[in-house]
Amino acid sequence: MSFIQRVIPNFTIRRVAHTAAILGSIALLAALIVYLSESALTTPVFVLLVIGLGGLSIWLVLAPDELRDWLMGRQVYYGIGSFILTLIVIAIATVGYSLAVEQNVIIDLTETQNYTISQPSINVLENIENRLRVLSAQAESAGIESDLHFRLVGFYTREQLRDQKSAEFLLRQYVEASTAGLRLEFYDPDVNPLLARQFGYSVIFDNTQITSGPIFLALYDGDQLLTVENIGEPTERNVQNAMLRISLAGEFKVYFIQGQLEADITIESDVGYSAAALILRERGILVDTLRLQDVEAIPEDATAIVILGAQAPYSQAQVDKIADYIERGGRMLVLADPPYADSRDSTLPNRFMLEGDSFNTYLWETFGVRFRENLVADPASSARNEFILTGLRVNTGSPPLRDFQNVPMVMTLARSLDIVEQPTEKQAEYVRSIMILAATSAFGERNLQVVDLGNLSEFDPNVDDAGDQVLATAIYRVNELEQEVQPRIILIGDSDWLANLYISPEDGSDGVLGNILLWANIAEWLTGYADLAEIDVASRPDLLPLYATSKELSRIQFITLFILPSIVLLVGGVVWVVRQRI
Amino acid sequence: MRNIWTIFKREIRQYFVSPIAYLVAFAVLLLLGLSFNTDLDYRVANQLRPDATLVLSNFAFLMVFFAPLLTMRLFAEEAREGTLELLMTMPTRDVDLVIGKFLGAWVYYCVLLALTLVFEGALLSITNFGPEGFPLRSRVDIGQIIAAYIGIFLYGGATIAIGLMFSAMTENQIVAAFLSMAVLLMLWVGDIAGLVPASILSTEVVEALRVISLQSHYSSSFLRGLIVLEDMYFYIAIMVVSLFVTTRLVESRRWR
Repeated sequence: MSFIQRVIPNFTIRRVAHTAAILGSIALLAALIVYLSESALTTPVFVLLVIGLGGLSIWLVLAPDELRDWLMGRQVYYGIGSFILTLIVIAIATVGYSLAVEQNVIIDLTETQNYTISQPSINVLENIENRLRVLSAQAESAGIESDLHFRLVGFYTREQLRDQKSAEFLLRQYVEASTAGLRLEFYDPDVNPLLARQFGYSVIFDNTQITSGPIFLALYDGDQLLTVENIGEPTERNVQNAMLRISLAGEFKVYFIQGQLEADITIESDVGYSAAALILRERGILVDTLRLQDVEAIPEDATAIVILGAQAPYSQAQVDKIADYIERGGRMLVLADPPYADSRDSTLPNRFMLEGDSFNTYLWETFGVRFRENLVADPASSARNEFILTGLRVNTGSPPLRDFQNVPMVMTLARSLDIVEQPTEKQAEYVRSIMILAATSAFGERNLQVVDLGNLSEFDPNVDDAGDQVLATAIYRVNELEQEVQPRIILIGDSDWLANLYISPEDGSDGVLGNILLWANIAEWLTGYADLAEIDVASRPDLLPLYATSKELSRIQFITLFILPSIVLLVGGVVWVVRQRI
Repeated sequence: MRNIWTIFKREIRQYFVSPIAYLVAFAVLLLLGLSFNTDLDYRVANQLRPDATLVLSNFAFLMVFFAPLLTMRLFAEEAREGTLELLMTMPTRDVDLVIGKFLGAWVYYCVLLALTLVFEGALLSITNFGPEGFPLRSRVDIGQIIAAYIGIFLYGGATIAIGLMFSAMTENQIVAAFLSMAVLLMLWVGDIAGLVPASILSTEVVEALRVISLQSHYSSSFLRGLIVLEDMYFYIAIMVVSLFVTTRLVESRRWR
């Protein structure tokens, strides 16, 4: 018995060979794993490789007959054949997969075709690419070499690769539809922070979860970034809007009228209206103020005018200027608060749009709509008092609201509108399309002192306005597309809903989504921007919150938690009993 | 083809006369029911949009654990009891045996999947087909549901094919189930490999893991209402390769 065998009783050369083979195999496996994780031939990988190959070499030297038997064995003979065949099948499958990826065949089964670009989108793409060609030709004729092209650039972190793939399904279609070499690129903002910052990328948080990686439309000259438009969430509508913003930049101008104690669009606090102007600017719409007293006529470049919460009445001369502007096909938005001293200036009663004043009379006689002298109260409001109107009924059939999504919105201290029932010949030239109604439980309180006194409103059938309380109306010409001029007007009996508090609060919260969408929809319809953005997402009931009564929930619980599993268990039990008897 | 049909009928019969299959169905439906109702209550209470694909997402995850239970006995039990050798002496090709057993398990899976339509019906009864009035009822996208079902049908085929492959590798059912669960779990979490810090897994490896992940080919497309050729192909390819390897494994018994 040798010394080694005395120390290790079961020692044999074969056992050493087996141990070396096992250790060598483990080391080779570890080397592979470390190499894959580090993507480089580092020192640990090298050491593991040496150990692995060394172990296998020891096995070959100490037990050469095992290798020979293994190689000559029946299983190895057939096994190698099977292994090669399997590799061939895997290779064919892999090549097939690559071909399938290249084919880019996608069938969009979603009802609203969320991942399919429509013809209007392709038209917009063609439009901006044609403009690009003109710019390139101009540069070339001036002797400047240029390589102008657009790129769709997405920023997704490693954690967001799933979202990136979904976005890619939609964005690839733009690349295929492009005739001017539109490129699609994705970057990890953690790996390329400077590029991300250059694009103005910021992570969007929803509570603590990252919800999306933003997409940008960028104009490049060669590799030089010229301009960037933030697309945000990769939806067809967002991409089209970004393209329109680039192609229509500076073509629309909105004037906010000043001079009659209107709201100030420069104040950034919660009671200010700066966010309303900002939303317009973000769409590439120019914003300015205008004092009617200082001009002979409303300028030709005014796409629309906005009268935002005026407190003093307009003179006949001012109304004449507005009438002249409307005659020329102008567009106007009037947001009039109730004739009550509101929070913005409590020392003065609001005298704007009283019944019988020149402006209200003009609206009535020409368009068949006027503001009422009331304050809409809703005793069933879910808010803290009855003058905060919730449960508003939105008419998505009205043209300005064709893209409105049914989400909650709120109005406070609003007045209602009176709409003519038997229009005169002049009034009949216009369509009056109701946009928003207060809840069915609401009425128009005529005694405006109740607010000052802090009393609850009670409906007085002899004085108060009963029936549906119209809070917003759109006015436009009958057969609009056939008219030479196409004036558009929107009248809303409240201006508070547009305050920063509701559309861009200082505390960083999201505001009221319905109010933000209402403003965006109104602005787009008045300026004509909506006529260019032709994606029909009129009704998105899938965006409504889930509603179910407790009775419905109980019924579902009973069926899905009791009936369904019980039936399966019962059938299984019957089968078991029958088998036992057999 | 007649051999496949004969084996398929035998397997289906075995599923439907086995109490285990009903217990698996009971457990799956109970777990789905609990998650479905909890989610429903939460969404109603917090005024969130409905999610019609939640049941199917959960079903896909449960299949990581339940598919091996369905497939573990298919070859392992036959091998342990010695009936596999008997089967192999019959005038049946190995590939017929594999395909017959695979189709039997897949059809049972489809029956289980069909039972989940009850959850979709329940959701539709309070959304698309709910009583009209105020407040307005939300809608779920039926096209998205159809796409999700097509995806999970293919996904199920892939998980069963993988489970069948491990069943053919060993004579021990528990080992077969454990191995296939481990592999399916790895293929499932491959989709979220990006959550692992870059110091441990490089981006290239993360992307490679996503390509072979069973979940990534479902969650980014089918679950969102898209039928994507590459994802359909992926599941079919997984089935073909797994069944091919299974056939070779069964065939290897003839070499011993």
